[in-house]
Amino acid sequence: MKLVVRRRFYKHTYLKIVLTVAAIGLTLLISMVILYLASNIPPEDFIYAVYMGLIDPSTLRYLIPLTLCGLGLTLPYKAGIWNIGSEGQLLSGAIIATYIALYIYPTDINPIIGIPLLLIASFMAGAATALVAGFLKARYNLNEILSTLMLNYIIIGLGNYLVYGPWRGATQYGYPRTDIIPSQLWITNIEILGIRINMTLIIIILASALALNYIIKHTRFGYDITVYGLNRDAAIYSGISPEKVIILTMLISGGLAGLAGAGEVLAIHRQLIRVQDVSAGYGYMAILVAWLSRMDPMATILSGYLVAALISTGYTLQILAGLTIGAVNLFIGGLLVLATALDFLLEYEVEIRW
Amino acid sequence: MFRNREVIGLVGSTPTQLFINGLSKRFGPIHALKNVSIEFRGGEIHIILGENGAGKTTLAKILSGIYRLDEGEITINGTPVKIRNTKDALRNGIAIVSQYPKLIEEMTVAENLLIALDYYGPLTTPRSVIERAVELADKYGLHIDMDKYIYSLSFSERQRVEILKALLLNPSVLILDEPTTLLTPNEKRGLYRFIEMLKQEGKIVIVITHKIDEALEIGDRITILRDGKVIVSLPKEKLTKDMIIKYMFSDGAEENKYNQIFIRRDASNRNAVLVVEGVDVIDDYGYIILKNVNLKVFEGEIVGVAGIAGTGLKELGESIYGLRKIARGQIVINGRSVSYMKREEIANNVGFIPDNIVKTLVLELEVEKNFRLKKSLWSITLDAMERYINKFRIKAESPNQNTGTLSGGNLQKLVVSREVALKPKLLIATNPTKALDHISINVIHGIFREYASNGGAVLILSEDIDEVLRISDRIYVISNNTIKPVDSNKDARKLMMELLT
Ligand SMILES: Nc1ncnc2c1ncn2[C@@H]1O[C@H](COP(=O)(O)OP(=O)(O)OP(=O)(O)O)[C@@H](O)[C@H]1O
Ligand SMILES: [Mg+2]
Repeated sequence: MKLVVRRRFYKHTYLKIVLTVAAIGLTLLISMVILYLASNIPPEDFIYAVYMGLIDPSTLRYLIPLTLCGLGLTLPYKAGIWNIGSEGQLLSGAIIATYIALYIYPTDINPIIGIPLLLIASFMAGAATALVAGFLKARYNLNEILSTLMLNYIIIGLGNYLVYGPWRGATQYGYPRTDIIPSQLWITNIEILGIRINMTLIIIILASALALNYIIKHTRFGYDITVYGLNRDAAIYSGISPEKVIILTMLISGGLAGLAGAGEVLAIHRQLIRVQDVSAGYGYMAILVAWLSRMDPMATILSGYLVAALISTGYTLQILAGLTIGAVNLFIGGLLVLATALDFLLEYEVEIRW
Repeated sequence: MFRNREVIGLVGSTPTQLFINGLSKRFGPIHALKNVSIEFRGGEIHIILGENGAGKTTLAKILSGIYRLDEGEITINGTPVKIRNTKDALRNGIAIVSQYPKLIEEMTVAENLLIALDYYGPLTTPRSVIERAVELADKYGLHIDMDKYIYSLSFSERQRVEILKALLLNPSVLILDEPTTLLTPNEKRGLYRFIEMLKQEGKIVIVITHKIDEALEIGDRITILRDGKVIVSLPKEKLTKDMIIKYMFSDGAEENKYNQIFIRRDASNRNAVLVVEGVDVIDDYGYIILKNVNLKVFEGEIVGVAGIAGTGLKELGESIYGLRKIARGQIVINGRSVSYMKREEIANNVGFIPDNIVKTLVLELEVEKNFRLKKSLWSITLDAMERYINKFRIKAESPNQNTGTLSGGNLQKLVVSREVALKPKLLIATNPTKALDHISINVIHGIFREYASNGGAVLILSEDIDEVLRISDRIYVISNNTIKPVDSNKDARKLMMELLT
């Protein structure tokens, strides 16, 4: 038997979908085997957990921050700018939203202005965090992977300092968390067809996806991003400004992550808690979400849903079989490896000859 | 020391015979080679001649295992062989020196050559490979400093490294794809001598080119490809330049209509579009490569600057286009100093054809998208684009074809057509016809002329003296680290040759 590998002439859209589904399918299959061998979890339980993951309402809850951050990453990744700071950018949004809600607003603030302003402020906070890295890259050519990663640690440190220190709530029995924000500022779920959905945030996600899709596919700026990502020399020769591409993609990317942070505070926690509990690594998993969608904003919604379902499945397994968080990591890690490996097939065709 | 040499299947000095029969290759809808049969003989320099996009490179890539054939048969010394990858090709003694050297910039010459270790046995030491490389370099006059890093090498030095890399594998068939495109006249003669030596040793030398004079000068046998088909394959003596032109181009019989004669004109009473005053140009390492450059280009004229590769031609163009800082002096385009202009403003007002056109193309995107690279061309209609594509004789299936699949010459034409379509006030063209066939060169020269007649200012920076002589209204030569005007009417060619050497 012989394997013959050849480069493809076209990258077919259907292949992207088939390969993504295959990556997820294989991940599940491998995880099933590992969990059976290692922890003796019967395959039926596993399949049940996966099924639950796909339909569980909590999947929607994870989908929101994952997709928002993932959407944000599509732009810089298309430009070849590796923002891995979504985690910190999300937290900046969460911190600012809490700060304004608790310390700036009058307690009887009208939510019609109060909520949009909070969302705008958190967008700006996330954007500002990302822009630190963007500026350093545009101006001094500093590697954004390092700067965004380090900024994550800075924001994590800052957030925890605040909840353990000056912002620790008077009504919280000494726990490291702020007071609860006024209830009229909460973004609540509404029930549609028996499923409780956070309509506000879902609409924000859909609107962002449509807008980003339009930007990437139909605007000059989207084209500039693509060119910059594929051939920097060509961008510079033709007068595309690298600074503009870096700054704007980072700004939008950080802003959307910041929105996700506000969402976590206003819709889920209603206060700022220890930062590792605000974002359980959504900013990092969003890298996988963006990657699985191959930087296609519309597909990001789907990949966000799939990764969210895997997280739910992991938690279901934790409850069903007493597993630890390792189960979630098993999926995420497995998916990352397989998706990257199968990406190869998108560019190359393999023929088996006997 | 080299007892492992036979591992790679070498035949020493017995003349080899390479026969390809009924070879076909398709790329999706594009039929690049159609039923091609050619016989190559040892001790012969075999030229593959053809217009841009004829299928020359495709043929070379099939023989050297980079592409796989769809149909057909390859026979070496009477035995059919299968070439599925580059390893297979090397095992059968076929090596290629590709048009653009593919070396690792951040490694030394020696380190790049060690790739050959793969093909020697496990007991061969790196040192012995390098010793062998030095031996070969001495033998063939391909001298090169083994410890230099690739990024510091000129094009011809890089090509020498590529050739040594191929020779280390002791091939019996050596394919050279457009080897002289980027060489100076002296370097060219060196390469011809080298090819001649290989021939004397009985090897098969396959040289791909679209230069007719070169084919007639160095070839023993010439095969002409057109549209992926073999038109003729004959000993050189049976062909003349006129016949070759007729065979190479489908409209070769009327090639005269492209072959204009240009009359020099005086435009010095018109506005100066470009003024370069007392400029010192710096190279990649921060050294001054051209001192005190003074140069003007007026509306409606073509100014040609001739120079040898590596003496500052490309750097001069990049400085004017604002890609390179200058050490002294000033550059003014349309009354505005380049150092105060934004990149976007320069890009949209100045047409620029760089020495390395790939730097201005996104090979992964469609032809159409590449045409729109500069903002002023963003909304050009498909109709207008197709008119340019036809006018420049660009061989592309459709504006949706992936740019990376165009042939070398067609990529070059794509960039030239785009920069002309921009209708800039100033057009800077570095070696604009470098990779082009006979008729394409004439077409492009005609377009430059037409462009100047309509009031455009054209600056040609070229390593090709004949090109500069032919189309320029005024001429400069790079000599002794500066540029000097040459009186274009008096014996210009002789003067230029003197100054250049
Ligand atoms: N990988 C590919 N995919 C699709 N089409 C291709 C590919 N490689 C070459 N072609 C097409 O095949 C034809 C022949 O190309 P080839 O590169 O062999 O031409 P060439 O004779 O070397 O021309 P040039 O003198 O311009 O280098 C062209 O029409 C080209 O667009
Ligand atoms: Mg070619």
